[in-house]
Amino acid sequence: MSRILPRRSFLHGLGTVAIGLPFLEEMRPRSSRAQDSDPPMRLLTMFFGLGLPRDQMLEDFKGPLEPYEPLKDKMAIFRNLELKQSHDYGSGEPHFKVGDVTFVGDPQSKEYEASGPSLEQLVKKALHPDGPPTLLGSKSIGMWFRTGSVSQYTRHWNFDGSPGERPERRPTTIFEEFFGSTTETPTTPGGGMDLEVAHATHTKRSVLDTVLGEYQFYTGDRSPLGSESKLKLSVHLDNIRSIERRLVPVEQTLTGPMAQEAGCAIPDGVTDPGTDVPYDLPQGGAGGSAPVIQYTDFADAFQLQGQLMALALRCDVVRFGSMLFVGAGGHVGFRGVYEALGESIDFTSDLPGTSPHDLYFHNNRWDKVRLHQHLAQANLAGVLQTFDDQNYLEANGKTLLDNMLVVMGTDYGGGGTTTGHVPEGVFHAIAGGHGHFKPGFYDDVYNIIDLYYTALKPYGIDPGMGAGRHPKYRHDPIEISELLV
Amino acid sequence: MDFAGSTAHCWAVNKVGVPGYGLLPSRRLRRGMLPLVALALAACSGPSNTLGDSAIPVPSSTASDGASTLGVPPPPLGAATGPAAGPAVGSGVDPGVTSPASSVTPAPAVPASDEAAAVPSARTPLAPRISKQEYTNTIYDVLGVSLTAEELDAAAGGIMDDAGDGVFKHFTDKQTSTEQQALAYFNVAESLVTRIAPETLQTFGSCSEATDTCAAAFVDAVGQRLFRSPLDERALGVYAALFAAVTEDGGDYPEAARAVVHAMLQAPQFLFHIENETSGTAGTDRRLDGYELAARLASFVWVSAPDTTLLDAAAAGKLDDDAGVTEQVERMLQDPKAQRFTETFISQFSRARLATFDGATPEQVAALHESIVATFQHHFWEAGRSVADLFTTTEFVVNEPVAEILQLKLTGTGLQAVDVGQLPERVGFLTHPGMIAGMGDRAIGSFVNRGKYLLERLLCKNPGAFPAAAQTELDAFNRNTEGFNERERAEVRMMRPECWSCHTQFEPLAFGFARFDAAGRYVGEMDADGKALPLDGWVPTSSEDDSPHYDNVSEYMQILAQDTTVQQCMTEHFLEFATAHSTDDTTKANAQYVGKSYIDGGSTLVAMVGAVVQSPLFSQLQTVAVDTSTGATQDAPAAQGGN
Repeated sequence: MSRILPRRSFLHGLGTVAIGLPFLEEMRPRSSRAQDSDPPMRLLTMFFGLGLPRDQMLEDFKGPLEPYEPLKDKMAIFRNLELKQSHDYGSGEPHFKVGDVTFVGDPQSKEYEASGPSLEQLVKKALHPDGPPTLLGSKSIGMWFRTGSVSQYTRHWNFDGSPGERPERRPTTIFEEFFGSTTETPTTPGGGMDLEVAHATHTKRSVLDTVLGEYQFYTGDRSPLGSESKLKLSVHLDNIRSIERRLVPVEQTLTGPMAQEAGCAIPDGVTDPGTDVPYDLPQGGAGGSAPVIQYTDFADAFQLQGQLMALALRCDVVRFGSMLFVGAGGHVGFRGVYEALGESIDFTSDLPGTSPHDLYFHNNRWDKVRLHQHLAQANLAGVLQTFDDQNYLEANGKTLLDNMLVVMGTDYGGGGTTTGHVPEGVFHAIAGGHGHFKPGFYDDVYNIIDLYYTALKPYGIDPGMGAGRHPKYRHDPIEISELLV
Repeated sequence: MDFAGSTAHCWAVNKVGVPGYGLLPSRRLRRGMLPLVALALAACSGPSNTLGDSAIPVPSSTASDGASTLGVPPPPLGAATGPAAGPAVGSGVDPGVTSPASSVTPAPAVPASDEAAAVPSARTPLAPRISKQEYTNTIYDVLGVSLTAEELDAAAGGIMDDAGDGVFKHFTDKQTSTEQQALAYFNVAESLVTRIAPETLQTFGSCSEATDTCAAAFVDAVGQRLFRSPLDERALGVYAALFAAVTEDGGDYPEAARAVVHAMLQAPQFLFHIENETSGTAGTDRRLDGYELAARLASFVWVSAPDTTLLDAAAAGKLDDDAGVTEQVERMLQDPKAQRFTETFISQFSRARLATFDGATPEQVAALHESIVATFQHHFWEAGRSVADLFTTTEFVVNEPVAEILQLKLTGTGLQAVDVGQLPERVGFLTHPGMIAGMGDRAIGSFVNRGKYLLERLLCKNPGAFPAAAQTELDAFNRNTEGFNERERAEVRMMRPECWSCHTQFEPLAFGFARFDAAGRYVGEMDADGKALPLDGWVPTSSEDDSPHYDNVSEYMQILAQDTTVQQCMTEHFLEFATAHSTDDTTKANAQYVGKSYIDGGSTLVAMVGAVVQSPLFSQLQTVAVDTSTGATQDAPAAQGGN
C-alpha cells in the first residue's frame, strides 16, 4: 500500500522530545502483573460518517478497508452488524437517530438525546467513580462541519443521555486544552511579567472556582434538591469542569510533577493546517449546501488531531475520548483528486453541487463511494498508526494502540443494489485492546449491542444495554465469544 | 362541581351534523378503519404526549366536595379585575373594529365534568433552567444590560436557544446541558458585566469602597435580585470571598463587583430555579414559600426575575395566601413586562419567526412575527377576549407586509387592527398568515406538516416520527403522486393501509387550510392546475365516529372554539408554559381545575393567569426524599431556602 495521506508535521518540536510514559497498570510487563486480565485503561471511540457498503467491505483489504491492512493483526473488523433499533424507535432524521445509538447501543429516549452514556463514559465511570486522575476527564475532537443536529457530531453522551462535549476542531485549541499555555507567566513585549493579564487570569480562576463550588454544594449532601434535580445540575457541573481548562489555561501542565516524572516533554507548539473552510465555521449545511474543503487540508488537520490525541494519551493527560472524521450523514464535500486502489476520483468534478451524503444514500454512486470512503479509512488508519508508532513504546514494550482500546463505528451499511439508510451490514471495529480481542474479520450478524457488551467484558462491566435503558426497546445481549481471547 | 354554563358546549352536544364528505375515498375508507383506530392511536403516539386519551384521570387527592385541599377555594382572579390594561398595540389601531366574538357561541375552556375540577395534586420538582428569554430579560431588568446580537447567537458562541420537542422549548424535563452552554454562560456573562453602568452597580448596597462591609452589602443586594431570594450565610460568604479575592489581587470595587456578578450569572441559583425540594414529608404536597412562589410568578408573567416589590411581598409573608398572590398578580399584569408572557407564548406557539416559505425575506418573517404577536396581544390585553374567541376572531393586527399577504389596503403605517371577516376563509387566529407561515412549509402547504403542527397545538398529541423503514414506500409514493395536489395526495395516503393509521390522526386538521399557500396567502378555490381545493375535513379526537366534521373554515373554527378537547389542550399549554414542564397526568388533572377557575373568573386571559397561579401544579410542590446518594460532606452550613 502506498502512503496516501500527507504527513506534514504541524507539531513544533515533535521528534526532538521524549514522549511521556505514564505507568498504567496495563503497561506492566506480563511477568510482573498481578493479573493478566487487566483491561485497557484508555478507551477511544472513533466515528466516521456515511458508512461502508457491505459488498465493498467483503473485498477484504482490496477495497475501502485497504488502509487497515498494516494493522490487520491488531483489529477485529465487523462487517455485518445491525442497528435496527435506531430506525425502529425515536424521532428525527435517520442520521440523528443513528448518531444517538452508535457507541450507546440502545435507541434514543428522545430526540437529540441518547438513552445512556457512550462507551468511553461508561468505562470512565466504572474505572474511576470519582473521576480519573488525569487533567481532563475525557476529550472529544474531530473534523466535521454539519451542525444540523447535536446527534450528528456528538459521540460523547452523558449518563442522563444528554450530549457531552462538542468535538473540538482547531488543533491549536486542542493543544492548549491538552497541554495548557506554552508560556507560564504572561509577559509584556519587553519581557517583563504582564501583571494585567496575570490579574485577569487570576480573577477568571476565582470566578470559576466560585461557580464550581456552588454546583458542588447543590449536588452535595447538604443540597435542598432531590436526586433528579441534583443529577441535572451535576451534568452542568461536569460541563463546567470540562471547559475549565479552555477558560483558564493551566500553565503548570508543562512542568507539573506528573509530566516530569513521566518524562513527558511537550512540543513547543502547534500550527493549524490551513484550510479554506474556517475551523470555527458556525454552521455547516447539508447536501449541496455542505461546506467544501480540499481533502488534503482536511486530512492534515485530522492527522494532527490524531497526533495530539496520541500525545495526550501517552502523557496521561486524558484516558478517554472520541474522534470524529465527518459527522453522521457525511455532509462535507471534498475538493481535489484522490487516487487509491488503482482508481481515482476528482471530488470537484465527480461531486459537483452535492455532498457525499447524496452520493451514498440517494444516488447509488457506489464507485465514487468506494474511493470516498477509502479516504476516510486511510485517515482513520493513519491515526491508528500514530497510536501504533513503534518509536514510542510504553513501559511494557507495547505501543499505545496495543495498550488502549479503540472502538470504531459509523452510520450505515447497505451498498450493492441496496439503497437508502440501511441499518444492516454495518461496519464496526475494535483496535488494540491490550490483548483481549482476536483480530480478523467477523461476518456473522450481531447487533451493535452484542459487540459493545462483549467489548466491555474485560472490564467486568455489564452496561445494561437492551435491558430497560429505553422504555420499550429490549435486546438480550449476546456475548461474541469468538472475539474474546 | 357545577361547571356553570359549560355543559351546553360540552363534547357530547357539540357534534355538528356531519357535512358532505361522502365523495372522498378517505371517508369511505374510514368506515373500515374503525376497528383499528385504537391500535393506530397507540402506534402513532410519540414519546412525549399521550394520544387519544380523552379520559382525564381523577387525582387520588380529590375531595368529595371539590374543595381545595388547602381549605381555600381558588378565588376567581379575573372576575374582579377585568381585562388587564396592557400597553396599546400601536397607534394605528382602528377604533371602529367590530368584535367578531359576538357572533359566535362562547365556549368553556375545559371539558365539562362535574367531577373533573376537584383539587389535583402537585408535581415532584425538577429544577428548571431559566429559558433564554428569562435569562435575557432578567439581565436587562436587574442589571440594565441588553445582550448583543452576538451574545444571543449560539453559532457565534452566544447563549443557545431553548430546544426540545413540544410547542414550548423551555421545559425542564426536556432540557439538556452541554459544554457549549456552559461555555456560553461563562463568556457572555464575562462580556456583559463590563457593560453594567457604574451607577447601576451603586444601586446595590450602601457604599462603594473595596471593604468587607461594602462587599457584603453588594453581595446581599445584587444576590437577592439575581437569585430571586435572599442569600443565606453560606452563600454570602462564598461571594464575599470572591469579592475579597479580586480586591486582594489589586482589583477595585467595580472590578470586584463585576466579578461577583460574573459568577452569580453562572451560579445554580441564577441559572436554575432552586426550590427546597426536600422540605416537609416526602410524597406530600406543600405550598411554595414566598420567595419560591415569587420566582415562579415572575418567570411566568414577566419571563424574568421578581422585582423588589414582589420580593418584599414574599418577605412580608404576603404570598403565603391566595389573596396576597392575587394582589401581586394583578399588579404584575398591569406592568408592561407582562406583555412578555403573551409575546413569548404566541411566538413559540406560532413559530412565525421560523417561517421558511420560498422567497421569504427576513423582513417578511419579522413582519409576520410582529403581526401575530400583536394580534394575540390585542386579543387578550385590549379586547379582553377568551381563549375560545381566539378561534373565531376576525380581528387581526397587521402591518404592511402582512396586509399585502392578506390583500388588504392599509390607510396608515405601522400596526393596525383590521377586520378580516370579509376575506375568504379568514376566521380565527389560526388563519392569520403568521400562524400559517409558522407551519413551516416552503412552497406548497403540506398537509402532513400542517396537520402535525395543528395536532400538537390543538389536541396536544404527538404524531410520532416517520417510520424510517417506510422510506422506500415513501419514495414510491412521491413518484406515483407527481402532479397531484395536496388534497389528492392526502386521499391516496389515507387509502394506503401503511399510512392511514397515523395520517388520519392529523391530516384532516390541515384540510381547512388548503386554500392558503406557505406564506399564508389565499390562493383561491382552485389550484394552479384548475383542480378544486376542497376545505371539508374533520377534527380527529378519541374516536373516529365521534370526530366532528366541517365543511368550511368557519365551521372548522366553530368546532375548535367549542371542542372541549381543544380547550383542555389550550389550558394545558398555559400550564406547560407557566410551569416549564411538558404535559403529564398531573398537568391534565390540574388543567381541569384551572378550567373551572378560568370560567369562574370570566374566561379572559387575566382569568387564565389567575387560575394557573392558584393551581396546585403552580403554587405547590410534592416533596421528595432527601437524596443520600452523595457521600461527600460539605463544610458549609445547611441550605436555607433556595440558597
